[in-house]
Amino acid sequence: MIYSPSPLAIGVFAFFVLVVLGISFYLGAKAKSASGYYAAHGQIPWFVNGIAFAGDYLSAASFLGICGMIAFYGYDGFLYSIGFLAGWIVALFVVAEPLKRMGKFTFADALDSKFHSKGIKLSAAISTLVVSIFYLIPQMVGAGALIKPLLGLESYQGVILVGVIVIVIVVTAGMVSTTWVQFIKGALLVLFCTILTGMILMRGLNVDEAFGQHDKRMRESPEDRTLLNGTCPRENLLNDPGYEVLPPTGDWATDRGKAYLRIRERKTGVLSIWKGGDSGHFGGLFTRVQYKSRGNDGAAMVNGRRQGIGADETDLQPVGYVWDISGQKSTGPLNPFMFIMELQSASLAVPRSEKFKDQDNVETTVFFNRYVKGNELLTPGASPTFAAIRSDLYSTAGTTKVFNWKVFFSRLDILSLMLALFGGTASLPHILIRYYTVKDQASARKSTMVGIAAIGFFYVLTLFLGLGAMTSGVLDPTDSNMAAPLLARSFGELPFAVISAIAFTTVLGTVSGLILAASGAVAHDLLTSFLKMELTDHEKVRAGKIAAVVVGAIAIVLGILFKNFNVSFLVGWAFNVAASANLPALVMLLFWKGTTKQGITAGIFAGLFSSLAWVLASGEAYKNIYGLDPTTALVPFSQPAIVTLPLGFVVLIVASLLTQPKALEQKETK
Amino acid sequence: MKPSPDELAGSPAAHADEHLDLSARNSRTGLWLFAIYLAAYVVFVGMAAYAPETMGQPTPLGPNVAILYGFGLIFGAVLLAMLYMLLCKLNADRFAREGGGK
Repeated sequence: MIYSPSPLAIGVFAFFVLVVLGISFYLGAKAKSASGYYAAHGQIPWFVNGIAFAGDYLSAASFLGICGMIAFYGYDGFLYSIGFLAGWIVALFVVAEPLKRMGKFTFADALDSKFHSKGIKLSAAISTLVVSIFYLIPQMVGAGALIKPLLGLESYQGVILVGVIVIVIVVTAGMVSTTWVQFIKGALLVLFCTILTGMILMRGLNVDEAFGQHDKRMRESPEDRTLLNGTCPRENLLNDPGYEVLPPTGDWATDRGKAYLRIRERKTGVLSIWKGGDSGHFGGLFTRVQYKSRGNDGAAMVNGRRQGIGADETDLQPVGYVWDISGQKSTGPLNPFMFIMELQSASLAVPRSEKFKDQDNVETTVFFNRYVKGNELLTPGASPTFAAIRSDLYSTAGTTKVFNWKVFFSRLDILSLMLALFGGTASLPHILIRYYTVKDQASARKSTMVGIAAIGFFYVLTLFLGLGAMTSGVLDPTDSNMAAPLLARSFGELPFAVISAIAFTTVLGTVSGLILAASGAVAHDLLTSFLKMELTDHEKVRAGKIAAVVVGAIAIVLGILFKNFNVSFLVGWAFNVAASANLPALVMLLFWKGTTKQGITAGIFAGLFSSLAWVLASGEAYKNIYGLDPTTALVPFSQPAIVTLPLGFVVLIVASLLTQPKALEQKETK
Repeated sequence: MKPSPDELAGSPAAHADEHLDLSARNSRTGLWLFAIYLAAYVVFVGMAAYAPETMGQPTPLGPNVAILYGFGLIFGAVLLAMLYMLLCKLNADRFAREGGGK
């Protein structure tokens, strides 16, 4: 969809960014030493640190990605919310306090406090760098997606803008300003989302009037071909002399393509696409759907016309409607429970899309409505990724039972995702470094509790924000990440401006935390500890700042390269890699006395590289990175943690057992 | 009445928190609470993957099982975190009564 920037949105946005930069410069003047730069002198109050935890954690993916996923796929998006929060339980009960006791500046410090091993420093630093960069990509992609409607810039310009601002923040002040920025942003995010949720509940559920009338007209006159969602019997489409039916070629000739008819009006040359079969809200009729493709000159085309806002141009229509609430037009204001209950029994039209490549390689994306009962969306398995879990594990072909591998792997995929989210939080370097900013274990514990309360409350809000967007007729069918800002726009320009600005500062805050963690890994773990470079305190800070600029530049490049990826999905991968690489080392170091330095190093490398390799060999990577057929992928499902996390543990244990005798010898010689 | 976080921070017991024996007690408490939450989470994930139709069943409260269980896990995490604070405080008080590990 095309967005026109509003002066109000730009004004509010500029105000937020300037305030954030102002805080950075002001507090930056106070943090000159290494301990100040990386750990805020260990003097951040626990309540502030707790909200800053929420600020760090509620990244663009949490806010934009989850709202979008819920708006498009209902409960499957909420699974992310639940997993993201549950991960904090591991952080609080298992790793927070021991880590605070052991560490100084970084994750590598904590792991290495017992062994003083170069191998551990190297592996932990590499793991921190890889995980931070992996986590940076979706933040940058989110920034690009957000900046487009807000300022009317292209997404790559947005990525560069975020990169530059964040590098300035990190280089000026380090952990003190990052913490305060996160505190302000975390608090604002929770506050404004609460207000927005209140507005959604006050508005209640409403049958979309235009859609309702349109639905009625379609039923009375199913031959109306000029309107989107218009319906027509197949024979009438095929036999009308005014229209030419295109033969199915390329992907259009496959089974899924055969559900569609492409018809060109002879008089105008405009091509319309009609979908039959399962969109069958209108019985056996074909429904006219929206589509986007490229014209011969490379220009974007929508529904057969040039995409734009000019006279002869057209744009995609927003989607996501309620079309029946037990016969009522509107529910009026609802409490949170009633909102869910009314939605469960309502009938909804939710957006779905499919991509087709023709024989001349022209790609067409078709956007259509799925007509479902609310309860189906409020149950796991409504998204295409997890849809197979609703099928039976065995299907019957004639008299024989056939094992359905697709269902089996889909279930493993969901288990793997939930495992990665559970174990990933406590393994994220930018979350771990925040434990060093408070003064003692009790403060670490208390700030985690504040963080859990703020984050938990926020994730409850995401459900209502997502469902609000799903039912307000505002969704951009091409971009689920825009659901929350577009929902805010349905309440007026000011809420839109404020929510967008907060979302943007969300990206700024999270990205600065990540770059700081990565620069700490380079300057402190690699240069000082691994390469044994003699750096003064001042040089250490300078090395960190140079590293921050380099990592920031890498993040900008990757953010542009990965711009077509789904933000939440990328974050899921980052959690998989973090959990597989770091969790075995953390847990075994804390709970198994037999752990050796070789075991830790081997475990980190095994988890890190196996999860990375799995991710790069998965169907999603085939589809989105290499443009290959996802069914030919090397691995059967996309989330690696259920395989690579246990692998990390096994390698760590085996390597530790193999290197035990040395420890025994040392004991004996003592 | 539950102590507020400020009261906890200010209590003399909080300062003895760095002692290894007390840390070990708190760790054990934490692991028990972790085990409780883990069990609830495993059942939830298992139901999501293997019994989605059960998750879609209505409950007497109105919202379906999936929604109530999901909210339960979120609020449960917050409640367990608060319970942990309280238990750590009790551990610290008992530790102080026992002579602070001396």
